[in-house]
Amino acid sequence: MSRVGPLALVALAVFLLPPLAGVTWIDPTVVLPVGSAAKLCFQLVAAVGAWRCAQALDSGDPPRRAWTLLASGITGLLLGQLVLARWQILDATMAPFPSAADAAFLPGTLLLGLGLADFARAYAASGMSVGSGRRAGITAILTGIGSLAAIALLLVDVLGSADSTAERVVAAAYPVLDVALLVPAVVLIDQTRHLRGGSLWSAWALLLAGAVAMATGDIAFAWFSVLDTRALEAVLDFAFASAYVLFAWGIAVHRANLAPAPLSR
Amino acid sequence: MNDRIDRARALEVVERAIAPFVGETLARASTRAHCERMGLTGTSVSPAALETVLEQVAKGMRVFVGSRQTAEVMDRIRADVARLGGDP
Repeated sequence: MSRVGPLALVALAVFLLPPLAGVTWIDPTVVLPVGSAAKLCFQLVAAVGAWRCAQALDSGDPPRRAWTLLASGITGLLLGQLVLARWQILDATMAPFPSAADAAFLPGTLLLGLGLADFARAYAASGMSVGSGRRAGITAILTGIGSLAAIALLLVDVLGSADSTAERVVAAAYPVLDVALLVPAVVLIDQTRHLRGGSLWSAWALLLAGAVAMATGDIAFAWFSVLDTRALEAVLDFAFASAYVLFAWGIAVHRANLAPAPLSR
Repeated sequence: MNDRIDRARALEVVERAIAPFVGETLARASTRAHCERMGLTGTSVSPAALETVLEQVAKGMRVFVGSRQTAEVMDRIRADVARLGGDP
């Protein structure tokens, strides 16, 4: 287990227990700053780890571009969270929507999805028995159709609301980008299940659990916003930190795989 | 130095070296698939043929763990194969 592992396990329990227990009474003035600070910490660990993974690869290595995209995406999310910290940590209030944070969150999510898609493409072409490009394509199409069906009603509701155009466009962009994140994540889940028993499987299981948690959590968050259940929003936002814990942990395990072990004598 | 290397033992060396990263099932499936694609089905392989298999395995491993880790793993494999009596 990497050094991030034990801390990540504790953090996961802390962030996931309140929502799983159905707790909605936690004071948002406590949840917001604590959740925001935790997200910042784990996003920073994940971003630094991802950049180091990219640096650990030679320029001709197929996954270097994927790691660079992934690192850029997580850095975008970190920048967005930094903007939100101005409200969530300093004022202990929900941030306005839309805000400058969305200018970082939206491209960050897109880059994250592109990074995962680049990994999936490279793995399909690796010659290792992780499934063909055709299988990856079919998985992507089926997941895309299923996910779009899941957010169709949400999009109709968001785009038909009485909010400003900017608000509606940004609100609709999130679930669409979540689908763009979910599709390569599901393709990678199908590919990396063949790695079971290897250390790369653990790394991918953590990282992809983080991606799925982020995408599905984001869509659930959008639904709660539409249904106007503010108490659930604060708790779900708290649970979001678990996605970044999983990212940080998975990336730390990945880094250990990229670095040659010292020779045993 | 032998001209031929025991195929089963050589593949076992390769699989043992890459399994910690990609798991035993994928290590076995990929190595065997490379051999089958090259028509290496006999009980022994030539050092040149084994080297070609190693190149294919290395190409796949580079996608998962990069050049540096792959080079380290391939060096270990070559050293272990040399101990079997071959020199790929």
